[in-house]
Amino acid sequence: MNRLAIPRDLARSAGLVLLLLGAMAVFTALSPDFLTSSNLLNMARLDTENGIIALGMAIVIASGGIDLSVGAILGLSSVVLGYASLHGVPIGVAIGLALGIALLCGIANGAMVVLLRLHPLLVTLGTLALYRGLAQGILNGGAFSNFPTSFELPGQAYLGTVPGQTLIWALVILVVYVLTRMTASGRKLVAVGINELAARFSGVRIGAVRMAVYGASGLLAGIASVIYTSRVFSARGDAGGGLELLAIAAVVVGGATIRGGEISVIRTTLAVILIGVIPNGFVLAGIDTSWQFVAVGLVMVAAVAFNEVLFRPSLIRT
Amino acid sequence: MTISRGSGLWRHRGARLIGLSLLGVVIAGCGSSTAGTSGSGTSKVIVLIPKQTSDPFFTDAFNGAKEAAAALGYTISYVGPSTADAAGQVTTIENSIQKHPAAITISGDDPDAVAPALKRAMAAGIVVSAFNADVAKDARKFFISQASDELIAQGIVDTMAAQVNDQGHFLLVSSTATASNQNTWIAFMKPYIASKHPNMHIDQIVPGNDDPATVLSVVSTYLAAHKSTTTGVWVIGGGMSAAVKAEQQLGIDPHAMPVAGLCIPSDVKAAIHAGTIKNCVLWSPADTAYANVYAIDAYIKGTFPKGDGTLPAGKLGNLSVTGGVVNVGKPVTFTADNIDQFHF
Repeated sequence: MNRLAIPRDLARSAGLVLLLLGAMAVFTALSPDFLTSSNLLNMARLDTENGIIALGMAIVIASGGIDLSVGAILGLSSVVLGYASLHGVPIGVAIGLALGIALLCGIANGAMVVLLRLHPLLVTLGTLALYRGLAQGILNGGAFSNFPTSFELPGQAYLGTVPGQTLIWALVILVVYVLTRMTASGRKLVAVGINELAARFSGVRIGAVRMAVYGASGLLAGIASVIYTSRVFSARGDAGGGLELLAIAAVVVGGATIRGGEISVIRTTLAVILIGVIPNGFVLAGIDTSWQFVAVGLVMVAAVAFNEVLFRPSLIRT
Repeated sequence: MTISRGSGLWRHRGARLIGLSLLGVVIAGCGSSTAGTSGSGTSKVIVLIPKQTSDPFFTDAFNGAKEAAAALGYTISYVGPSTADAAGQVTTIENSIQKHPAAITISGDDPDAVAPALKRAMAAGIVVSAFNADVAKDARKFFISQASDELIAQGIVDTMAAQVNDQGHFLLVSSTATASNQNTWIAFMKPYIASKHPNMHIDQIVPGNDDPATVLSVVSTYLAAHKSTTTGVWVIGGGMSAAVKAEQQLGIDPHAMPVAGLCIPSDVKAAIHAGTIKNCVLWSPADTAYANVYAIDAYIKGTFPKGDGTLPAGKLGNLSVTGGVVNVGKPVTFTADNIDQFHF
């Protein structure tokens, strides 16, 4: 850890918060329905799955890797849940199976990266197609939606006015924060991302760290999948398509370098919220939603430019 | 404008002015449409959610809805995913509920995936209807059927049968595998073919995702392997002209292997005038959406028929309603003679 770390991190977080407040101010001005507790909770509800997956991606990117298969894992896990439920498996067990499959998919990614020494981009590009193909094959392009009503719990329940899944998200944020910031495992993760060789000579078991990283990413995609499947109450092979790019975007907008060695749980979460505000604001303000990607793109470019240009080492005075 | 619902700070005029000046930076020149008018209970906003906003078919529906809305005193908010995506529709519905509109109407990308969100909208007192592609029956109050599904299916089959001497083997390109309207037509086509055209056979059904590039690729791939055994290509999702292109790229004369089915006039206009597509079938999305607004208005006023009956719908006259389904009419067959009259 260098001496610059704290002020730089604070400035980055402040930058993201400013961008978020700016976007929220715009939409507040445009629609009286935007800044209401009901809408903020609605956004938190809709951001939950992206937020959980983005944290998995943050861990993978911190280790110097990448996981393009998270959206496909979400789809496969959702289909396994639906298929198991279709065949009379009790819903609790079906959820367990869905989480288990997601973890297994992640560990399979890790195994190929570690044991076969393949680049994670190639491995997960392959498994993206593989897991997505399995998902679509199992339900044969169809959808399953006859879940028992008890399955509304993970994605449609509320505690008072607070959506249940947002509490799960908060718990995941807490666990990932503690694990990556306050434990030896977290320091090993960052060490592997900064300099694999140095980490190896310091006695870090690189292979074990990598396996754990991809396993965690898979498991988090599985948790997101259970919430997603419950929220839309339907299992589909195409669920989660394109989520991997959103997750990578959140990590990068959150200011972590794509080269690894850094993780910020809070900024990644802020970035997910920032990206999620835009479609919501567009709908409430009645702006033609065809243009929403322009706004998403501008916000992302602004955030990345802020992080990369303003905080280049040469520009920072000690 | 002054109904207080959020926290005080951001409702300040100053904060709004800062917001407005930021707006200039963030979305300058984006051609934004009307800002939402809203209010609880008395809203005159109808949220119209297409399968995808970038499809001219739905733009035409939007235009038809606007015409009826102007006559009845509503405004239409046209929002949705920019590519056909059920999850994107769910997000749009959930966000729209926060707007407290009078009604939400949707062309469902997946009848079940959008159902929980639509039920939440109904629980919030919003009138929910479906048009073009129906959703789960308990997730909407009524459905606007653009034309009888049975007549559409018969039109698809008959226009092809006339071009192939009533026999042969066919590839059928649908939109997405889970789209309910596609599956309904296919379900009507199969028995109709079996009883009226027993020498015609659907060899394979592949999804074309309403996307010309996908249609081009699936038709090319299929015909590369089954050129000699295929008599014609049915396209019943979007992107029919791409099927003609696929044939031509493989050196197949589209006159010898006809492409027929459902089409968007703007997509096939050139091909119909060139003769590479003889005719194809569709309905008017503008009329469907126009009728939809009249049905929503009737529902809000309590005059929508319970059970069977008729619904007065402005320039379309009286439409028949059966069990929550409003029937707009018969499909239209587009030919070189009439296609220039359609603008979507």
